[in-house]
Amino acid sequence: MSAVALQQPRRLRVVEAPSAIVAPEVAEVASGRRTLALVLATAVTIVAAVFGIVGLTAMAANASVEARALELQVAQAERTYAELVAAVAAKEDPGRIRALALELGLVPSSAARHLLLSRGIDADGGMRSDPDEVVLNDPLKPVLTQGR
Amino acid sequence: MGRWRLDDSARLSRRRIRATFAVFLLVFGLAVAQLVNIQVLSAEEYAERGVRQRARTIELPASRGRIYDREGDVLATSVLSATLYADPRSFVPGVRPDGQDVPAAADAHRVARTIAPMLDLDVTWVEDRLRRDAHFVYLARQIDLRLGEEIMALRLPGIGMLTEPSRVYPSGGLAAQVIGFTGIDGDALQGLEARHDDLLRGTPGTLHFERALGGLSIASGLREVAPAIPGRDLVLTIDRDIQFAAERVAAEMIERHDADGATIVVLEVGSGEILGMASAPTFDPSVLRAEEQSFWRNRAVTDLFEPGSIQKTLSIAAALESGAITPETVFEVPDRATIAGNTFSDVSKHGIEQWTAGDILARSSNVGTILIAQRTGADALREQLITFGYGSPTGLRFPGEVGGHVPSPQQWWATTLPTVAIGYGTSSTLLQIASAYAGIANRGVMVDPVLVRGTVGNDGLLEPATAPTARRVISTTTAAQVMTMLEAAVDGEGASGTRARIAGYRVGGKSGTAIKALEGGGGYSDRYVSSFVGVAPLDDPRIVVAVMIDGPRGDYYGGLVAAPAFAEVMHASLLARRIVPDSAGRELGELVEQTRRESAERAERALAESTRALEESTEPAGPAD
Repeated sequence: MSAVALQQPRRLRVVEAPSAIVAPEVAEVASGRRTLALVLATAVTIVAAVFGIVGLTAMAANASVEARALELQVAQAERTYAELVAAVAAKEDPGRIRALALELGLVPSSAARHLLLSRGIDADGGMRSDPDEVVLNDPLKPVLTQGR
Repeated sequence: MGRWRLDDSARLSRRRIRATFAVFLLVFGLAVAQLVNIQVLSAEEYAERGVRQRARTIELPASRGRIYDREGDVLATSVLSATLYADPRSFVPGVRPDGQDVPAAADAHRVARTIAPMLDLDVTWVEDRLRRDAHFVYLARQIDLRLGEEIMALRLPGIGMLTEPSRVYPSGGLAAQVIGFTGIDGDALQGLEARHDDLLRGTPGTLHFERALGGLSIASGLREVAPAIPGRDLVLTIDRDIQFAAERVAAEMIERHDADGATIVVLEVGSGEILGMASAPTFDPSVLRAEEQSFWRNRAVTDLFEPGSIQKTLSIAAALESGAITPETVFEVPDRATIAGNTFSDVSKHGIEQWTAGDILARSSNVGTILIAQRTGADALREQLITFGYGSPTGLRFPGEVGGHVPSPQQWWATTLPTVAIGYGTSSTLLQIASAYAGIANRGVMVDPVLVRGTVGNDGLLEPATAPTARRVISTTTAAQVMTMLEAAVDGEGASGTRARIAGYRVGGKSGTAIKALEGGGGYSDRYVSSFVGVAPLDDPRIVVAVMIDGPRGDYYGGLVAAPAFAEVMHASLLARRIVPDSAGRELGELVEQTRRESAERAERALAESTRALEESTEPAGPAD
């Protein structure tokens, strides 16, 4: 036994612990109502997200369908254009025009002449001495111009 | 005892729990392992497999480029057409894999009777195809798309439709031998379609997309498009109106002279651009017939012939260029000459005449030309013909183009020089001859003929073709001297080409009449080739027209048969190119008055003819026998 142990027991003194140590830690405990709100909010968020994603996907699909419809329209327009080009060329066929003219009673001219103006006229039907130059300015012959 | 049992039971439960847990762990582990395998280790492979199931790739055909004439008029284009097919299995009863009988979807005879008239086909033929032992038969290819859609609207079982591009030639057979054609599968087979197929055909594109069960595409699925690159358009040097005039005249010549064929070339002087190149008989590339196969070739570049008298111009040019003669050199020309035992004679008899080279050319004297050639010498004549392009293709690189023949120096015998001088013993194409004349008209500078002005891409801009090669073949002086002689051959005294004259224009040219060699060689036939080559207007030569009529019956002299054809085509070409007449300086009032006078005369003639025709048609018919 030690000497200390043999000493007279001292009177215990209650010492107040510092409040920070003694005070129990306070944890906020959610009430049942708040939990419900959280659950609902989460559910709403999830549902909104799902609807959002589904909505976006539907919009994308819709846009895709519209794009395809437009592609079809473009293809149809191109097809019509190609058919019209061929039809116009067939109408312009010199053989057809000659046959029609003869049918109408016209006779081939033996003395056809062009009147050449001293100055070219740019308006419709204007004629220049160089036929290639006329073609380059002819809106009805777009293949040789930039505005095709 | 109870305590013992409780311990035992607890131990057993724990063991079971552990075993169950172990099994669960094992299964879960396997599932996780498989998941890792699918999602991580073999993810790519599975992804690819999935895409393979859903994805589909379609080739997007490139639209074939158009072919335009020099003024932008369409000569060839492509449109979508319908191809109708049938699945003959639909017209016979079948058996399902489970053994159940399946009735035929439709009656083959009824279907054939419905669609055959619409397709203008024989009912029996259609029915025969519908009854074939096959999964797929064509019923009609490349028909009008609307007709195809009309037939599909009938919803006939076993009948299907595909769309495919088809080539159309809106002007029918116009320039058919030049443009060529494509096959039903779009393969270029002839002419410029084949020559420039690499430019015209374009590059096909691809469309990748995902499809669901049943073949429907998934709207939000993968969709990748690599667009097709359309072919470039080809702009030719051909003028549609000139081409038409040349073809019309060529066809008329065949009919009028009961000829085997006719070829006409119209060439622009200076640029080498071919404005027209007609071969008759011709064909319609939209309706190819095997029996017309011989009409497919472009005679102007594929057919060789002995030029005859139209080559005399080149012989005289060679003499002038070599310095052997001058335009003033006078020759004593008899009407016949015997060389190495062979007699060469002129067409018309005459005494010994004092003629210059111009007189000789105007009268187309064989003997005179031979005298000139003897002064020129064989080497100089041969070299000059080769310089004019004889013996090698023109540089046009047209499919099937040939270069002709000039005898090599080793092949020159005593009679070769006189023979070649008057246009026999050599062969060339009509284009070569026209090109040589264009060289003379272009002050001695020959330009390789061209058929393509350029190409047009998606930007719509004309990209000019490479400029043709130009080379001097004779001096400017020689060219001018020859041009004067050519005018005398049309307008001069005793000229052989008087029928080539065109009112208002100064014209120069030379007629030719050559006996046709027998096919396979070994002598000459009793048929002729009539030709005429000329230039106008002579003040500023712009156009060369060469006409060759193969085997005319009756009249066969070039000056009688080919010269009028030349005049007609040249006149049409001058008008189409808006080339001012040499007599254009007249007052407008005078021109109007002349036109009015001519129109009135023509109207009176037409009225008289109509009245006569009407009177004849209204005469009472005679009594019946």
